[in-house]
Amino acid sequence: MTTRSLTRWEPWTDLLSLQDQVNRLFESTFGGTPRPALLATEFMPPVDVIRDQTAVTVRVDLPGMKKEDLDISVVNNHLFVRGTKKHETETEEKDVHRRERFFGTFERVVDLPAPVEVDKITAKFEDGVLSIACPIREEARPRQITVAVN
Amino acid sequence: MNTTTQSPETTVTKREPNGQVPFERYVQPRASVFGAQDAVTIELEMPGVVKDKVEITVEQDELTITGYRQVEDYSKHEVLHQERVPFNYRRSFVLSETIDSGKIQANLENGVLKLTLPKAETAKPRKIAVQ
Repeated sequence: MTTRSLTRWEPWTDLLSLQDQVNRLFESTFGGTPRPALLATEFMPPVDVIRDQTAVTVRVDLPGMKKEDLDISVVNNHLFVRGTKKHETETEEKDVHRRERFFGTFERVVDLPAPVEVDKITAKFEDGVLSIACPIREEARPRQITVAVN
Repeated sequence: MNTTTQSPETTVTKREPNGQVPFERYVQPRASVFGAQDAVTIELEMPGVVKDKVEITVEQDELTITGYRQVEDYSKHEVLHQERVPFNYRRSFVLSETIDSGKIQANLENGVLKLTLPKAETAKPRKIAVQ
């Protein structure tokens, strides 16, 4: 596995998150209702990590997040994505019928599978999806070697 | 189909003659529901959905929201880790009689769909002055 779930290991977070994901899959099949958010202060947004020959791309679902509340950094070829998702003021604590959305802080760490050009990392945030492109360093890219035949 | 909300952000669901929607995989989006005296607000988390890929319908007293997710093409990549669910979103709510379903408004921002459901004038609390 290339992705560490969280730097601070909290067994319940992983377990509840898994339970939550399983529940959501079953509920979507059988028409139930998702459970309310269990851990409102710390949440774990889902992450995809893909690569091709030239880049590693990391995508994180962060609906309702604001760009300025995101913090992305690279230390020793570990990519850190941190942020704080804030409540919208107008809907806070007033006549709540159902609350399933998560708010609070999160941190995800991805062990990048190849050395990357830290200065050339680009990030964009569109429709609630954060996409980070990390170009792989030239010397770490696979290359074809042609054997000269005399 | 009884009433259909129509705003620039939404389109109307096309259903088969028997009322069935062609089979696709859906996941229920997370939702928060808040209600004030004159309107109810529903917030749905639908990351990866653009506004012309949202369908909102009202049939009898059932409000149904469908969001078609833009799924990235991973076929030319090596997938090292995958947690994001590449399914579309769908969720239904039963509307109270107090909601004026013709005045539902929808707004999509950063993957969160916010619906405002105003209460019908007759359902709003009112003070009656004693003569």
